[in-house]
Amino acid sequence: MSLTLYLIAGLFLPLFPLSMLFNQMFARLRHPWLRVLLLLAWPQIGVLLLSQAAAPVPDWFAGWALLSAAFYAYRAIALREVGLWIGYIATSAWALLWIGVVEPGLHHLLALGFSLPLAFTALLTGFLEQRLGAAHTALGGGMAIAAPRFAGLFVVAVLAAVATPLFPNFFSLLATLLSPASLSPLFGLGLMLIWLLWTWSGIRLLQGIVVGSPVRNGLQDLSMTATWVYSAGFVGLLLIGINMGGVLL
Amino acid sequence: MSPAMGQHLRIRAMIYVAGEPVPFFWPMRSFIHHNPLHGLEHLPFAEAVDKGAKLFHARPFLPRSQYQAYLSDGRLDKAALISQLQSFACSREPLPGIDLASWALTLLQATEEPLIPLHMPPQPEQVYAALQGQPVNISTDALSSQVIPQLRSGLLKGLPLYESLDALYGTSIGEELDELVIRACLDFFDEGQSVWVMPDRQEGFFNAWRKVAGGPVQALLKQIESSQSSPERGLTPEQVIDHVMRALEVPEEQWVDYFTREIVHLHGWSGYIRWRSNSSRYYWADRYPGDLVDLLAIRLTLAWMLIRQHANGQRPNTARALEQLIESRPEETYLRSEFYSGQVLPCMVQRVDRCLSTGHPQAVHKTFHDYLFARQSDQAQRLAHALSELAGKSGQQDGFKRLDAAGLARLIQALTDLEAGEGMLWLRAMESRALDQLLDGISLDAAEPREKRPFVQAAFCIDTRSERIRRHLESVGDYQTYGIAGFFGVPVSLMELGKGSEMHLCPVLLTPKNLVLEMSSSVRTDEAAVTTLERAMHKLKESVLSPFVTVEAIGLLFGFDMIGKTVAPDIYNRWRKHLHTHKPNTHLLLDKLSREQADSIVRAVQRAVIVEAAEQELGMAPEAITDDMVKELREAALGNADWDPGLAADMNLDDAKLTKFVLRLRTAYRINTPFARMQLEQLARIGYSQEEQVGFVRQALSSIGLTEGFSRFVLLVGHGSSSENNPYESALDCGACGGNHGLVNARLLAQMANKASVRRRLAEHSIRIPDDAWFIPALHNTTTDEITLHDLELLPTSHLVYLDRLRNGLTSAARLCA
Repeated sequence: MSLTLYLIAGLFLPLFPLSMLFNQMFARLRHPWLRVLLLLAWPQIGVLLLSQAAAPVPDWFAGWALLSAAFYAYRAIALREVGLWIGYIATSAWALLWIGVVEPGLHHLLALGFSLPLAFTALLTGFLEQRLGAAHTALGGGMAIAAPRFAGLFVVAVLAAVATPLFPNFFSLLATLLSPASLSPLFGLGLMLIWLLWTWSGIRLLQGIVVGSPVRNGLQDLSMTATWVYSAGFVGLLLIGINMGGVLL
Repeated sequence: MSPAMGQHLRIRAMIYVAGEPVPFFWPMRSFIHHNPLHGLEHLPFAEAVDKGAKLFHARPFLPRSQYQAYLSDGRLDKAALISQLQSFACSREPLPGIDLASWALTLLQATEEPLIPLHMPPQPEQVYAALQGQPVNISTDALSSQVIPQLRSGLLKGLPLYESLDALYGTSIGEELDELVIRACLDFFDEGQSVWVMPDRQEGFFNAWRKVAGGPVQALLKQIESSQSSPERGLTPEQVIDHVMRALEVPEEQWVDYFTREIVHLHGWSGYIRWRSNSSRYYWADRYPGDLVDLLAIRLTLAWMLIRQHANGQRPNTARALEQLIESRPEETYLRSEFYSGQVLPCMVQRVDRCLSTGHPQAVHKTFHDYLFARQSDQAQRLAHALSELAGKSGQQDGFKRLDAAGLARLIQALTDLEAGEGMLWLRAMESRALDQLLDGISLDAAEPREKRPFVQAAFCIDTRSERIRRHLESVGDYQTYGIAGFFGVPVSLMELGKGSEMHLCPVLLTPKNLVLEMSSSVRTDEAAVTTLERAMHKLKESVLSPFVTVEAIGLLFGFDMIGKTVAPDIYNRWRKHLHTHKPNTHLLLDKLSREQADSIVRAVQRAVIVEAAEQELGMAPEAITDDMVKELREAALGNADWDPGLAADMNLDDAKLTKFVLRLRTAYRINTPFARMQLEQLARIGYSQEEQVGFVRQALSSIGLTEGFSRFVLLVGHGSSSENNPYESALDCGACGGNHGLVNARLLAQMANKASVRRRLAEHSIRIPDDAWFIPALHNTTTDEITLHDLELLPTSHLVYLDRLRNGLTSAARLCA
């Protein structure tokens, strides 16, 4: 019975190939707020299911989770569509929740830490989809010239999404790294490699979207109000991250 | 002539023609403004601009929104714009109910982005259907028939193969290639800046590069060499070009266009190489020859190598293979070109990405048709909407609604033609306003007669940076300013004090025939400590290993320098100036030397060399070398006479050693008759004859209209700039002086104009310069707007009392510029 529960949880704390369900759903959802909702709620269901299981999680699930996380982190490098990239990074991050199993209350927080920066990035990506019709590097980069306010925020958003220190997912990742399951050198190294792959994919995305000469003219930048709101949001994220670090570590 | 030789000559001729559109580019020390369309001057301006834009990847005109801003600011003549639009409308068949000129004006004034898509625009009947609210009828089969010709013209005609591959596969072979070629150019065209130089440069660009090229290139070149009929003769760049072009399967009739595209890829380097290989008497070019043929051989070899590496057996690696790809898989090729151009339809970008990743033929076929349908439908709807909006803005909705399909097609065609040529319309309207402003500012009334002559007359360079200080100078007192070319009409080759090379101070298109030496009568002093320290620092930087430790050891010192220059630049720079060795007051050797003077100079030089040689070779003390010894040694070395038998004893040498020393003077120290003759020829270049001096002064004064009413002071103000760590520093100096300061030319003209003999001759040409008029050279530092007077030691004492007033005026003008 517990195994079935774990497999169902594997849909929400995605383990390959069960992860395909989430990624299919995420790719079909175009509305930014629905994506935000999905990013925040989806792993919480998985954590809830895990807390309901009577028996402890079998050890091999941790290995499966690490491989799933590494697989999606690796695949994210080749992605050019920002929405899909967020989905893959989310899948990769949430899979790590199998490794960093902590007490139930904190496990929800750990999941939230992974989700929050990605939700913010998804919200900001909505701007690009609204203006260009899609958030894809094939539509030409040069946002730093065409829409500098957006470009600045987008750089911060991507840095936040790849668990740059002080953002909540950094502390979630650190908590996972310090959890008993990660104490083996293999897991520790695996986690560091996954972090490196996230960063690599993020930089590739930034190169495709922010750098270069704009191909499409007449793109309207974010309004000043929206810029301030997003900036305040990122400051909030940082504060949440610092606070979360205190709770988790 | 052998067939191989014929082919070599053909390739050389093709490259010569292919390189014609690239303008010359001078070295960075003469980095002056140049006309990028110089090589296209034979074409009408609009055509030259169009071709230049394509060749140099340039944007020839400003965006429409920028012109609209100029229009609202009044910097553009609206009447001229309207007049052109009316002419444009009159040249077209009238459309009932449509005022085309008004449409065109509304389009240019009220629409920021171009209306008609350049790439596969929608058919007028589709736009008509969209306007009528009917479903847009799009035949993707008809459209797909347009795809192959479009791909062929876009990817095959004269485009380097790697550019096509980059456009189809999102690779960056072109960028990689540029980097490799730039590296080769930097290595070969080094002019003494590097410590480790490319070996064997005297063998030419291609041959020297070939010896240091990496393994894959060597393998390719060996392959080319072994394929030649006589490989033992070595490989020429022409053979390489011929082989690579055939290997790439580029049809020979396209070679010239292909070469042009390759050459313009790095048009700065190409322009420099063209200039270098065409310039006569350029030291570095004579010593290390290199031309566009070498450049192309290197570029094509590297391109071929990169194409083969990237193709990896899966992508086309020849023009023929690319053509076959277009013919056999046009749908995939079209989708690829759309996807990697950045112009792909956003709503289909993900689908196109996926289908290109999988490459499944059926998915590609379906995506292609859906893509074309979506694209055309989207464009038809957009254009219909934009036209309706435009009709509303121009107040012609009724007429627009009454248009039938044929009328709409004509309207769309007219607007397409208008947008294709709108850059020139805006430009002419801007020129019209500029002309009006200029003509309004010109007064044809004769200047009011002055009661007395101006306090100072000052001739500045016609550079825009001189304009401001001229205006301020005229406002602070009784100053009259003139504009003249910054080299004051005196082309000169200067041998600066302490330098061993000539510097051409004239427009880069001229080669001065006169040489002027800068001499100093001051006693040579030791270098200031800071100057020595700086020299030592540069030596350390040039070394291969020392920079690693230098940064840690003394890097902090640079921090103090930076803080000083940032926090208190004036005080700090003044303080630093004191630490450096000051350049002594110098004189310019202006007059031609007589035969006797030239002989005397050669003799003096020979004597000095002999003394130096005796010190160096024989270890003699200077005081032990007498004039008689030097004279005898000189005569002996020149072969004029045998030396006195007692000379060897006087010099503490035996006969054999003395004979050896004399021989060494002849060979190593070049104390011989042919060299002395050559020195005399060189000396004949020094200075200007009396006629030349009179001619230059007369020409300069007549050209600015200053032929009477001379002031007490006539300033000749050259200009220059000061900046640090700026490789483009010469771009900020005087272009008319070949990217150098204009002071030397000013000093020369002043010196000429102050000579009584020149003034006497000028009076014969009705230019009477009064005795109390004095020409003073000056330098305008365009960075600080400071004007410094020079050669004041030559100023007559009668003028000294006015000097303070002059200085105050110059300082006030400089301050007003701040």
